[in-house]
Order: sequence, then C-alpha cells, then structure tokens
Amino acid sequence: MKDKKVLIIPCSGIGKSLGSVGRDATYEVIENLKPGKADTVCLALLTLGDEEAKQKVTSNYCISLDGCPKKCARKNIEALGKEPEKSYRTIDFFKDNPGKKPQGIVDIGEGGRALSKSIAKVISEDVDDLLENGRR
Amino acid sequence: MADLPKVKVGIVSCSGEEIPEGTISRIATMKVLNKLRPQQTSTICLPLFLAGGKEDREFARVYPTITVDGCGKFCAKKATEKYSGKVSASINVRDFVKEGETLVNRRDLGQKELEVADRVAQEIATQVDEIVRQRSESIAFSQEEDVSSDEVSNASGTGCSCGSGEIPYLEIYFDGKKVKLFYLKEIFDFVSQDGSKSDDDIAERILSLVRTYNVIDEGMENAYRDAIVKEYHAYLGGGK
Repeated sequence: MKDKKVLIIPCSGIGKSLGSVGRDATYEVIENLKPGKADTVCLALLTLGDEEAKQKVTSNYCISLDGCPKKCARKNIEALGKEPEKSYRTIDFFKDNPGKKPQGIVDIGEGGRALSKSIAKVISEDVDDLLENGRR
Repeated sequence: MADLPKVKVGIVSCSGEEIPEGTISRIATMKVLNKLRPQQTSTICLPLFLAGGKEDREFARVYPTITVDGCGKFCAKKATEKYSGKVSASINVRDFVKEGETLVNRRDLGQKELEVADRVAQEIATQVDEIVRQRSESIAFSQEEDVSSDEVSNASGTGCSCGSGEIPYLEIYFDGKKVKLFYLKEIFDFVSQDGSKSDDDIAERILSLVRTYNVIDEGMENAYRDAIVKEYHAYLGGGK
C-alpha cells in the first residue's frame, strides 16, 4: 500500500519528563527524519472516538510510544480494536541509556534530547521497514 | 482542631499532538503548576485518565477542574465531564490567539507561541484564584508555604494526581441509594470541634463543606442534609 503512512502516537503524559521525551521523539521522526512518511494523531481525540482520527489509525500503521509502564497510548489504541504494529516505552530506552537523563517536563534538556534522538532513530527504522515490508 | 485538606484545582491539558495549540496548552498548564500557582494546583494525565486511571478520575470528581483545550473539539473538557463531572472552567487556546497571529511550531515553541502560552497561563491562574476563593470561603485556608524557585523552575516530575493515593470517603444511604462522599469523616471531625451547636447550624456547616469536596445535584440538598446530619450524629455516637 503505497499511500499508507506510519502514525507515531505518543502518550504525552504531562506528569513526567519521559512523557515529554516521547512527544519530542515523535516530532523528531515526523518533522525531521521521515516527513511525508510518518505522521501523528491527537491521542485524546482518537480516544474520544473522533471518526476522522479513528479512520486515520485504522488505515495506517501505528507505533505507540509511552512514557511510563502504564502504557496509556497503547491501551487507548487497543481500546479501538487496533493493535499497534510496534509499541515502545521511553523508560526502556532510558534504562538502556542511563546517561541520557531528561532534565524536566517543559525543557527535557540535553540528556532528554539525546534520548529522544536515540528513540527517533529506532522508530524511523521501523517506519522504513513497515512501509517496505508491511506488518510482520 | 482537625484539619481539612486545602482546595486544589486540577488542570487538565489536551496536549493535542497534531497542532501547536496542543503544545501551548501543555506549556501554559506547566507554567501554572510550576510557577504561577504551584500550591493550589495539580494536573491530571489525560491519557491515563482516558485509559481508566482510577485515581485521576477520582481526583477530578473530588476537586474542581479547569480544562485547557487546543481547539474547538474540546477533548479535555469532554473527557473530564464524561468520566468525572462538570468542569469549573474551560479554556480554549484559540481564544487567546490574536488576529493575524499564525502559530506554526508544535515542537519547540517560538516567540509567538510562547506569548500565547503566557496569555493562557495567566487566564488559568485567574480562574484558579476565583475557584479557590469561592471554595475556600467555608474552610480555614492555611497560609501558603514558600517554595523556592529551584523547586519549581524545572521539576522533572510535577503535581500530577497519578499515584496520589485513594481519596478518603464515607458512604451514606439515602433515598434507597448508597452515595460516596469524599472527606466526610474529616468534615465531621472538623465540625465537631468548631463550636456549631444547633442541628441547623451543624447541618449548614457540614453541607457547605461537603459541597466544597463533592458535587451535589441541584434539588437534592435537603435530602443530603437530613442523611448527612443523621450520619454525623451516628458518627459521634449520639445515634440521633
């Protein structure tokens, strides 16, 4: 399906810096690394059942990106009957890269931006893989 | 004298990922939480709230809420009213964008977007003050503690309600139904020590405080009043 895109859906959890890191990584992929191939959708709009948002999710590939173990982005997508093609948690990337520590929620700082770039790199590879090979 | 919890205002931001206004709602909310009104506010993680977060939903049922939305779809407002109850105030970021202002940055906000965020943050703070003033009239509101700028300038975690623990409540029966009232025991302890003597005084005092932490439907006040006073006397062992 040539017209398909990959939607990156972060939780954007406002209470913790890892939620901000997921949001930043999403923008890094859709605006810098894979513009035109990747996009995002408002999670709250999707969860409240907006038809256009639901259509976007069901007709494209999805990658959920959560900030904490509660996996709200993934759960909210699954609640619509769609299983994301890939699911990530920023906390897992942080565990693998403890030196890349986010500073805060409003400004994730140098460490947070470095962590965001690491996550975005992995996800951008997924974007290419999904668009080339589809769901496996 | 027994202490009652301070009135806190929950700020629910839409954080809409697709549009700059979503990021503005988030930044404005954080500014209020961390800098403008850190002691009077807490936030609710909207995705957790939507995913069924019990504590977040309960928090929004007990405390007054202000929703901050990035567009006219009002997701934060709709979600809060669907799962918890009527919001105290609703703010749409787009109402604070001046004619001719174009917002383009959704990742790192530029000068224009930051100015809008400041306007929205000021409006949230004004609404917080009004809600706290109204709700605090009936309780002794203790002096704010000083918070250092280091503590609030760039918190890695903020005043979010997740993990805040279950809010205490008692259940009362009336009209054949069981109703959960938050902080009722604390209110009983407070009123039992504040000098109110007659049943009418006590009923007024308790009802006023119950309204501070709970939503009472219009037209139900008398029914609540009788049931609560009966429960109060039973709690004190009077069994009236």
